[in-house]
Amino acid sequence: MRPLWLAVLLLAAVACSQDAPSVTKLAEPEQVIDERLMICLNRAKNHHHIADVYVSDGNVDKAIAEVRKVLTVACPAGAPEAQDVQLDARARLAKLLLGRGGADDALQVVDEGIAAATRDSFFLANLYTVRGEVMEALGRKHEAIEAYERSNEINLALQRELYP
Amino acid sequence: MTRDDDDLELTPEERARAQAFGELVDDMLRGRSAPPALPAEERALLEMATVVRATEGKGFHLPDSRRDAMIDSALRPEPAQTAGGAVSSLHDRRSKLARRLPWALTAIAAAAAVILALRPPPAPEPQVARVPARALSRPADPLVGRIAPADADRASARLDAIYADRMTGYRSVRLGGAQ
Repeated sequence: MRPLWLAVLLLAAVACSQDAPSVTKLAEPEQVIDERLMICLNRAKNHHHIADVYVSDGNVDKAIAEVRKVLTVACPAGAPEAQDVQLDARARLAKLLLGRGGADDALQVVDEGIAAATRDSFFLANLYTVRGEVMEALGRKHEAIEAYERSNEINLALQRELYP
Repeated sequence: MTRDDDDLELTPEERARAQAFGELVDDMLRGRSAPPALPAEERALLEMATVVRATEGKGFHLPDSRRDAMIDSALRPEPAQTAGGAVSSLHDRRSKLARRLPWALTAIAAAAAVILALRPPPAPEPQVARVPARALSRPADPLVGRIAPADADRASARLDAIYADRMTGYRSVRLGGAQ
């Protein structure tokens, strides 16, 4: 019977050694909130707060310069929050420029943001709203209406999606 | 196995075998040949018994011990006998098989073990770790909601809300062991 025991032991040893290693796949690194994203958001937040102070002091030029800095903050590529923050900063910057009489500059800031957007969002809809205001200021009423309508389309679609 | 004269009485089976063997001896004396399927040992015993039977009354006597051995050998039950009394070699083949079977199984097991050992391990199926949604980078739309035109330039307040929310998720990753 010794050979049979030998066979059983041999097969058992091999079977034990064949256990597949357990692999745990984490969420993709770019999907998890990390230091880079938090630093990006923190820097943008601080620029906005500085701009708030300048605005409260009536120093619009410095506020504009501070908000422009938000557009240069390095953020993780593809982070949805980064795009949201950029669009929102452009909306604020355009409003500041428009308030100072810089409709053309405002339009450029807005259109660059719209062109760079990769998805619909409330922030993009807000930017279209600002574009409508800029177009009104420029006397381009037809384009202003188009921008407002586009803003409404995005908002309605998102609201249906998020709050069915 | 040696039987004493007064040891045991013959069993019916032994008696039947002795009768069959005696008939074989008688057949041989009548000039018939031994059954073709008879094993060599059985055949030698039959020939010897035929000679003894033929020389009865001619002054030929076997020693008692030799006679008893012949009788015991003739009466010894064999495990595989054909209906005609011929012993088959099935028993021998079974014995050989019984001896070789464990080693054959071991050889098969060894071959299987080698195949299993050389085979690349199956690709492990990745298991997606459960990361709470709050720890993931994601659009801020659900947090902020629709932006009213009057609030179009209130990016600072919205960013405060986004930052606070993401900080909660970041802390759960760094401190809460979300991974």
